[in-house]
Amino acid sequence: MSAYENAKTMSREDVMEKIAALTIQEAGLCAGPLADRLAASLAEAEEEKKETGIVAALNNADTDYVLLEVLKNDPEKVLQGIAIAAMAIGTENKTLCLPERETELADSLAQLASNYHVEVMTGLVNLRANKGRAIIHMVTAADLADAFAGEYVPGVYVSVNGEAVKKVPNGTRVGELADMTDAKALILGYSMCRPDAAGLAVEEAGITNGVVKVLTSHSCVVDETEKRLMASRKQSCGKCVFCREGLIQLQYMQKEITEGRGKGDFVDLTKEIGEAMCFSTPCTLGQNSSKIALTAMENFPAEYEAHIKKKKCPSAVCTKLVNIYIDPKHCNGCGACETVCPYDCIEGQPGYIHMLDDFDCTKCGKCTEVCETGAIVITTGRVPRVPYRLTKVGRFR
Amino acid sequence: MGVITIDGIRLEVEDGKNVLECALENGIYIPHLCHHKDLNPLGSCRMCIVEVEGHEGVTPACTLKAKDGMVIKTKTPEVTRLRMLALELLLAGHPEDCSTCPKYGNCELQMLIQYIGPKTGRLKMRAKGFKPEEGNPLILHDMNRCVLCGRCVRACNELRGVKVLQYQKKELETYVGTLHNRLLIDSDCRFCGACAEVCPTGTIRDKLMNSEVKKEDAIVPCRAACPAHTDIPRYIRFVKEGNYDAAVAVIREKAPFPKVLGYICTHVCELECKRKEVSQAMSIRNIKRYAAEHETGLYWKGKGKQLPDTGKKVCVVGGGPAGLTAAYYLRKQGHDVTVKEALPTVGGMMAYGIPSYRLPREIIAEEAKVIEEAGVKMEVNTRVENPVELLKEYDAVLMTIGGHKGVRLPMAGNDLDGVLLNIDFLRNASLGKETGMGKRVIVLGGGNVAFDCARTAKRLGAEEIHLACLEARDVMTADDEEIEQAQEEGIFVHPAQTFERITGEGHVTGVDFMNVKSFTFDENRRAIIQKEEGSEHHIDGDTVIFATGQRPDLTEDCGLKLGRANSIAVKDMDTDKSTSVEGIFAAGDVIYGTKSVIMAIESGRQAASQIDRYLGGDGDISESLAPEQNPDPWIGRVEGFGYQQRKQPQVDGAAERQDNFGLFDHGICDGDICGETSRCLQCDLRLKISKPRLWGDFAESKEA
Repeated sequence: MSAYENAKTMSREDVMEKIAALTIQEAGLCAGPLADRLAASLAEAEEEKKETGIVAALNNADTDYVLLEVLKNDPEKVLQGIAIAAMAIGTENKTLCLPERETELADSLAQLASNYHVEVMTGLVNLRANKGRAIIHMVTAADLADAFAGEYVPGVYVSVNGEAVKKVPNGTRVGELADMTDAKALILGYSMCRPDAAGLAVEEAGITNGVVKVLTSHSCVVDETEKRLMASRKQSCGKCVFCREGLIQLQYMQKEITEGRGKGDFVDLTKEIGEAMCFSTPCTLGQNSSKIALTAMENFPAEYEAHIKKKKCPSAVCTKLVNIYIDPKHCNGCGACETVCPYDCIEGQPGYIHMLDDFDCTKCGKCTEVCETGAIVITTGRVPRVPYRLTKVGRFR
Repeated sequence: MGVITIDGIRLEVEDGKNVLECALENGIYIPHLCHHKDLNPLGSCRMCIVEVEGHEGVTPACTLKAKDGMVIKTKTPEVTRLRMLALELLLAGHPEDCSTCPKYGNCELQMLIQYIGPKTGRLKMRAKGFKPEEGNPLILHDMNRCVLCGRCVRACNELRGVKVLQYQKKELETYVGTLHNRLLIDSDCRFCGACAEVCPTGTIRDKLMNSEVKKEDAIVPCRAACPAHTDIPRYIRFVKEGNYDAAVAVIREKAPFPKVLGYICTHVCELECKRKEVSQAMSIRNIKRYAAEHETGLYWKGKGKQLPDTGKKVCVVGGGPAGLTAAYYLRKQGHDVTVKEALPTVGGMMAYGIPSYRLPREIIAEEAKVIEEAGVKMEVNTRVENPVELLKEYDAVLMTIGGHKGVRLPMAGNDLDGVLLNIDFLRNASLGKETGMGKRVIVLGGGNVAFDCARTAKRLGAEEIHLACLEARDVMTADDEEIEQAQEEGIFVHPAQTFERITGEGHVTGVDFMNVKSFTFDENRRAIIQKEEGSEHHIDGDTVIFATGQRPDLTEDCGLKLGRANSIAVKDMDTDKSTSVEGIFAAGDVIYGTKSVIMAIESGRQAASQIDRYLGGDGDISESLAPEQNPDPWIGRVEGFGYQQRKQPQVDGAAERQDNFGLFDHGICDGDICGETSRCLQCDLRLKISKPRLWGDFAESKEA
């Protein structure tokens, strides 16, 4: 018997009791026991005189969508979980909400979802429009279905460094999931953590969006933080002041820092705005999206100091803060770099040492990719003496 | 009910009511921006945050529900800090310079800045770079000034149900707009203006609003334009509901001639109607006519005000619209009123100026009868030569004799046989008397009266009719409809002509004209006319009718001081209608020259009020006749609303109408009335939206 069929043999009260006994933790907006979440939505529906219902979705703050795999792998499981939760609070309103860009997935699921009378829609979950409804994570729905099929194991769904999603049982250490050699930082959920966070158990690590990512010495914490803030900006609906304007300021400051225009007071300002954001919006997008900046600045002060004060990117990722040159000792004059450069920054003749004018150079790295001799160097250090006029290969002293 | 404490002040409030409203209603100011009294709370701006004792952190007061025993603090250091930060963030995306904004001085955001005093200079400021949208009628959008409070979106969606305005996102900027940035008319906007009303900044603004006009008048321009300030949107709504009795009661609150007005009102309301900016103006007059033709008198017959008799006697001289209106209201104030009319029936210009093909005589009689039945005594065929004498018998006299003497222009041939005057011609035609008209008629003048003369001549059997006037076609004072219909009837219209001379010896043989090159006025309002050289030409005719104005038929012998153009001089045209003789008042055309029936009615009302005060009354002639109306603010979406065209009245063809005095305009038909009334923008609904509450309005905050 399927999970839903099992549930249908039980009374509503029994379903609720079973959920409470399972101690399934809701991973979405209101972290905590699922049973409490459901009860709270019933109380809210009563107070607001609104219809109750179940809305399953990713967190609004989730910009990686790795947990969507759980749905894609077994849509029926998630739909059954939604149906069981709806049974528990006695509602027929069932919605599955997918990220805005997933219209194709939504269409492909519509038929199956209709079997469970679940409406499939795309976009962020509008909290104000869903007063009285229990908004749960689609992973919670999957857990619920597992539980009613007798297969529930308490654990966390993770995707390590973008690999396929898997469920790891509670108690597993983060360090057991990934290769920690050369780990400079760990992105766990919405936070930028120090490598020592590898010692945390998965259920304590705040991996609510499934993201586990190891940053090595080739990654820049600031650059990564800026990219994630930009992704949140793109995702934000823009209605709440703190989410909309706060993200703009946070992303702007990180961007300035990566480009060597960072200021000392950015650290305090990020803290002031970022902390206020955590409690100044109703949905997870505003609440969680500042965490990356807050934790990055708190956990990696040296990285920020290097960018802001010394104008250096230790990982040589921030292109505005690194130097590029063609090492005259290694250049063989093949001309491959000159051909590939999109901005015509490289000059030379066959058999002559090539020269790079970094005025228009964006440090895109195309030239380094094609250079067979590894002569093109990107460095955080100084540029050594290089030729200023055409010099035959091997003739530069 | 429960007791909550805000900043140490105990308030008894309804349980579950939002705390922000509790505070504001009890005189405690909490700053707010996205909150609006008439809209669902959103809680996005974070200006109204407060601390609740026993709860961690801050919470917006607008979404906080009052519970008995709640203790709230609105000004703690943490609240103040976060409020300042929220406003600082908000302003990062708003233009810094207020002084160039049209909303300067009326902007809620500006006042919030003054109250909260956010830090400046710390954040990255940005220009959003939206192109202001000016392509919509009535409403301007400048999304660069938008702070995304979402009031307009809620007003459009939740209050009005029109659902045109939504949050949109372009690249990284959120803004408010229509789907695919369509123009409002293509998004089925109803142009109710609620969005502009609730916008706290200069983002959504009214195109027509200018500071010289009172806001209410600018919002409902039809009502403001009507000389009697008839509540037009209100009666249009009643007509839409099919409640014609109530609609007419609304009109009767301001004017005792609803049906007459429905036929011939000059409808200045339609010229101001905001609907014309979207497609075409509402057909207000015809809606009024439809209501008046379908009502039963339920709300006004035998109802309304009737004060006990005062024993004071008033004589009204002249039974036109001004006189009859004044008589009616004076009677309702309890005075003994007698109307003395020189002609055989009352009605004045309504009966002897306006031809019967435009206004059937029985309509005047029907509405005059209501006035007679109210107790006004009518004495017809009674010409008053000496009004001062009347004071022996009456406590007050009102002169409403209108302008019944045509003006003969000073020009060669103006006294030849066959030269007629507009008023005499129309009066004789109305009375069925011989007019002295020949077969080829030339009417001089370009106003509505000139066309009345020309079209009356046509109906009396004239074979060829020419109408010539000084003004160019586009500035002729007659209604376009009137000009077009005359031309359909075969009347030749010659605009931009000077009248050189009337030719003939003994009897008229025609008129010499010249073409006008330009016609302007100098700074002393004197006409400057440039003629086209060598353009002299002649039109043959055996009759010339002067339709170049009319004046009161009066001389200094009447004992009253006269003013410009034979008018009776009053102290002030609008506010004091007393003449040079104590106890004698004047109103209508006789004080300001020929205008319109509705102007005369309003003038009559004002005179009645003043005379009542003069006789010891309170001067309050207002009446409440129509039942209360609670219009539904949820107007909903109507596909193609903006494009709906004005419903045309049914008009008989020229061949059918041009040889008789039968009514040829049958108004709007039964099938069209609902459609026409549904086109109304209901501009007045907007006045019901609550006004913003600013900190300056709160005494306690002022002291702080």
